[in-house]
Amino acid sequence: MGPAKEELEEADGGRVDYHPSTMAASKDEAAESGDAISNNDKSIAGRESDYQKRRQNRFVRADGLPYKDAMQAKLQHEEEQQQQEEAAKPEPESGRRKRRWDSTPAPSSGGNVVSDSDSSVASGSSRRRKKWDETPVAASTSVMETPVATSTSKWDATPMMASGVPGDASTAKKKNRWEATPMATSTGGIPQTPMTPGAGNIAKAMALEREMESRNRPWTDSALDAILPSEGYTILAPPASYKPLRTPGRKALSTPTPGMTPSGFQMDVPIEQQQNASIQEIRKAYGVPLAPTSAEAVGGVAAGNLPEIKPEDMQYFGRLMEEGEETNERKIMALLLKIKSGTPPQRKTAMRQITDKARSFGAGPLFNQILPLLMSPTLEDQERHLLVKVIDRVLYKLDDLVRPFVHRILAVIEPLLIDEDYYARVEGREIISNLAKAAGLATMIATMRPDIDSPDEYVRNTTSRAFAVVASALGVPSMLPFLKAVCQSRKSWQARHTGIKIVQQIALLMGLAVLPYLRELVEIVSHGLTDEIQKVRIMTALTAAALAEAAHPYGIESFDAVIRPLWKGAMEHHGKALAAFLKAIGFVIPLMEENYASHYTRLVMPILLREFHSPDEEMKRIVLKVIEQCVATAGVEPDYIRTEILPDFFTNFWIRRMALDRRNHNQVIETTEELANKVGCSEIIERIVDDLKDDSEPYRRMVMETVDKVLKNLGSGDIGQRLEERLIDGILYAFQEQAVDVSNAGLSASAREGQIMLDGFGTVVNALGERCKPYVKQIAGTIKWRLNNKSAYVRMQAADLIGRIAVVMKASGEDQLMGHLGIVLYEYLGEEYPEVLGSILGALRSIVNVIGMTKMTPPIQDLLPRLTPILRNRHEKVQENCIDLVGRIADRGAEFVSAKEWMRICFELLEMLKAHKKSIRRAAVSTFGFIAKAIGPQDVLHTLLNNLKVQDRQMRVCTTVAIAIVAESCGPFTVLPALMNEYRIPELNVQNGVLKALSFMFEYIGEMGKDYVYAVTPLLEDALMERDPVHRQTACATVKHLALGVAGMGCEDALIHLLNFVFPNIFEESPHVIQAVFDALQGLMVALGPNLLLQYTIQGLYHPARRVREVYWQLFNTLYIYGAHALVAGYPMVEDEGENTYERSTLTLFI
Amino acid sequence: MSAPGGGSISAEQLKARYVGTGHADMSKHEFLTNQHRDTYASHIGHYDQLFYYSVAQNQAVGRVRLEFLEKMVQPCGPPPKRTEVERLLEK
Repeated sequence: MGPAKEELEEADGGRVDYHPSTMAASKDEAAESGDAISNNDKSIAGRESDYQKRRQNRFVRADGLPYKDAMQAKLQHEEEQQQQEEAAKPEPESGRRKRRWDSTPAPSSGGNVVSDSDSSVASGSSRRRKKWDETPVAASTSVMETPVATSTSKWDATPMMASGVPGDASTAKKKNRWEATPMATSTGGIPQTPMTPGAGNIAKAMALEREMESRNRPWTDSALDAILPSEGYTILAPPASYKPLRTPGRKALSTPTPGMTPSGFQMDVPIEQQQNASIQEIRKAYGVPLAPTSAEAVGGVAAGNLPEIKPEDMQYFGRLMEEGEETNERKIMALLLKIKSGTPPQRKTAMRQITDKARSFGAGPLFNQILPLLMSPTLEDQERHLLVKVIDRVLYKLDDLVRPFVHRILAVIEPLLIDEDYYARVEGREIISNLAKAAGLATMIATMRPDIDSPDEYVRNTTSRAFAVVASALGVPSMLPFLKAVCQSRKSWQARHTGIKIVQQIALLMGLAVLPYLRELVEIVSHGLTDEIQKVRIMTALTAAALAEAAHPYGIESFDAVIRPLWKGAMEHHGKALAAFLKAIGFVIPLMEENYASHYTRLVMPILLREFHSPDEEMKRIVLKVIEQCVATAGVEPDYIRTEILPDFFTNFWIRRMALDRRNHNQVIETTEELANKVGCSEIIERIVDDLKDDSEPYRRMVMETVDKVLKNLGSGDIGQRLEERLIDGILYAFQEQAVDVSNAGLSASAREGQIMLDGFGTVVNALGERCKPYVKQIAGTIKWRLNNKSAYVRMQAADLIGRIAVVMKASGEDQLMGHLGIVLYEYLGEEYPEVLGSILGALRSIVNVIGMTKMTPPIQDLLPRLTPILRNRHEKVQENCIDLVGRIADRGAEFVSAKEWMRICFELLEMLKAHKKSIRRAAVSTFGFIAKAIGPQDVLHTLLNNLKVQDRQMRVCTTVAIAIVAESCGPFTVLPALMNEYRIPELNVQNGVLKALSFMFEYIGEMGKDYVYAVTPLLEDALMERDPVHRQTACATVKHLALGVAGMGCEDALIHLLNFVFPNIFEESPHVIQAVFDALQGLMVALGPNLLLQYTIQGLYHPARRVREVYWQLFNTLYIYGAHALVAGYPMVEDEGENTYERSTLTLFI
Repeated sequence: MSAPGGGSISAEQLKARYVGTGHADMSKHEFLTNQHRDTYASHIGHYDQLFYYSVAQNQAVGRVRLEFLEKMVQPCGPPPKRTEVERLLEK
């Protein structure tokens, strides 16, 4: 983001707004300048704009400085900067871009006068390069020269490969010992031929001894650690009296020489005795689980436990590869490595540990490692997210211990606030708000105060955003005195600018929540409108705009202080400042009462009309927006708009050039829409309708979109005969003249543009309704012609258009024409592009919907068999439209088709149950119901029951739903016998399917279930006693629906019987089963009343076993929640006990 | 435990929302106190019941109501002193 973009952003109200075109431009720039990192797409640094990259250059003060020292450090730094600049000035700057604050501001820029009191400082120091121009590596040295603790130099350094070659250590450990060159140590197990023949005996003896020794060598600590659990064992010191046996004589042969290596077979040296065996290898050999134990995971820096270290991370984690004692630092490092690049489980445990131990690790060691990682130029989004999460968790634990580190944390987190990624911004806000809560307002202010008047715009920008977050976290009132002081700063205009910007950011961040402090906030910034520095005036105007926008529609009384200066300022300013003032005016006017709004609109209108001619795009957009806002207020009369605004508006903005930029285009449409709302539909359409035939396609599209919106809002009531003709003529022209992408590659690319045309056409035709009758033939002709087009997109659009206008065609009485279109579409069912085929099916459906089954051409009996094979198409759009059409026919016109054909469709439908899209499955299932109704349930049911045997769970579930639907539509008695018979098949899936179908069936048929309770009770009995938990679970679900359906229908006897089978299941462990059991009991509670269940419950409430009691109390609580009142009558009588009266005597009162 | 709208709620939330619910360690006295309070609340909430009791006791409705309200403080008397055994068990 170059300076130009900054300006633009400021004018945009300080939102982080990335327009694609500018983003693309800045990316190109980055590519051209050959940035070192830009080739790495995944890293955050790779996609950062120049402006965002400035975070790398940020000056970071030492930790924990008191406020005074901090200010001093900052001043010193600034001075040095200035000296450097002075030194660099005489240098010829060939082609280098100047930063704004690097150069002395040109006098022409009005406000930009920075008092350069230091400019006389002699440039005696040796010539140094400008810091901003240096490569990051060199930057570190320049910072080193500032009088800052050396620890800060890390921040500016680019990661360099650690001097140690990372590969070495790991490969050395992994190396198989067979690959290694034989070492002449005692453990080298490679058989060799003895060098001197005849030395066999000695060699043998030596070999024997060596082997004995190696096998009896004491275990090393690390080997023991690897295979013994870390908890429950302590290492005991050897008794003081113990002296190991040291008899050198027995080891006469122990000096190894090459000649001593034995020949012949030798057993492997046990793995734990090999010097280079890793813990993981030892574990593998002894069958100890390979996952690290919790104790190890904290400290365990053995290579096997850690995720791989990426080469670019070597400088941070490299030291983990070296042996060393377990310091806190290494522990933190290991945890961070696991969080950064570990597997999810590793990450999770590491995250938990670092949180738990945060206080014992201490803030310093933690942040000293986390913060450099976050500044790493190769950081990726996911890694940053994880590290930020670490900070968040750690912050919470450390609480006030973070105070000394607030500045450094902010320096790292603030860039997140202007990240292009929304979630990064939210994350940044979250951290800063937590930080503020932990560190307290005083610390936050003291830490950020020095940055407020920083000469670096980037620092001020991020600081103001951070301050706004602090304000929203700790409450605006506590910040008000500080803000007031900053905004009135006499010393530097930067401080005033930042202070006002903080208020703006508060408004953006908090929205309507600023209302309670609105008056104070407005007053704090109000003097800025007349500030001597232009930038401050601009920022103040933008802040007023943000506050008014946030407060909408309340709080006009708070703006008293700024209204006069705003309007006065609008008269006096030009260019950017005027744009800002107009923007503020635009947001304030909608808050006003009618007559004031009218008055102030008239005041500002001459300026707006003048600025209609402005060549500046930004100004144009703002003027349009203000017009839109003014016009929307009630006080502005249509006549005034007609005479004063419209003529100029159309001559200046309804021109081809406006259609080219997306933002201009949208703003013009919005404003025109608002104008139309005031002056009426025909007034506007009259003026633009002929532009539908303009030469420029983007312009035609802009007109079409406007016509669409205006007609949608206002209808076609005031459109006259002549205008109607021109309109239809225009849309037909615009529709036909769409650019065609013959390659078909742009099926989705041209979709958005095509959609606008389609929507516009549909809206116009529907708005005109029957008045379209004279044109329908012409429209249909166009459609037919386009259905035949070479481009798939054009065909699709034509078919979609039929769907939109079918209702109007019917209303105009063009049945014959629709029949004709039906036949045309029918002929195109062979379409090969699925997107197009889907649209054709959709068009057919809309025609069938409006003209009915009987009048449909082609006749249904011809159409449906043609659809059966299409059902097999796997494309979602095709499936959805096809099943809709088939379902429609099955519902309304099933008699036109033979039962055999319907059965064929049934088989195809089964496949549909596998679809991913829910709407397809639902349509398929309900189509089963229609078909069953049409041809009788037997055949359909037979198909479905067979389908219960398949493996795929989703298929079975959908099949059971379909069975239940068939039962519902054809009556349960037609289905139940076959279904219950199916339960006799001794197959788990089938039986469960039957139970599930019963469950759905009882759910759907509701109280009709009372006739079938006694029929299914034996089956449910059996299922509830089944050993398989899924049986019982599904049976419980059935009981629930059954009980809820027949509540109050006099089936209590059967339900109590079922309750006796359900109740023993209350001790189930599996969550699904226990859930189903409790659901069933709740259902029964509804049907039988809570008191009956209370009688079952009371027996277990004081059971000696806690596990039993817990379940019973849970059940009691359920009863209590739903039926506490009813339980009053059901509690048992309890005898008094000592001084306690437990008898509820009122219940025994009797008249 | 799930709330009426679905979704599970913790024990504390449950207790906060439905004060009469119990748990596995609830003493007899607590449980019965809840029952009595619910009973009185039900009496007070139904005017016809209140009326019935006032007729049965030959007292004014308002007085019966007040009586019930006062009884709700400690309907079963003070909580029993814990025995030596219970105190030991608690440790």
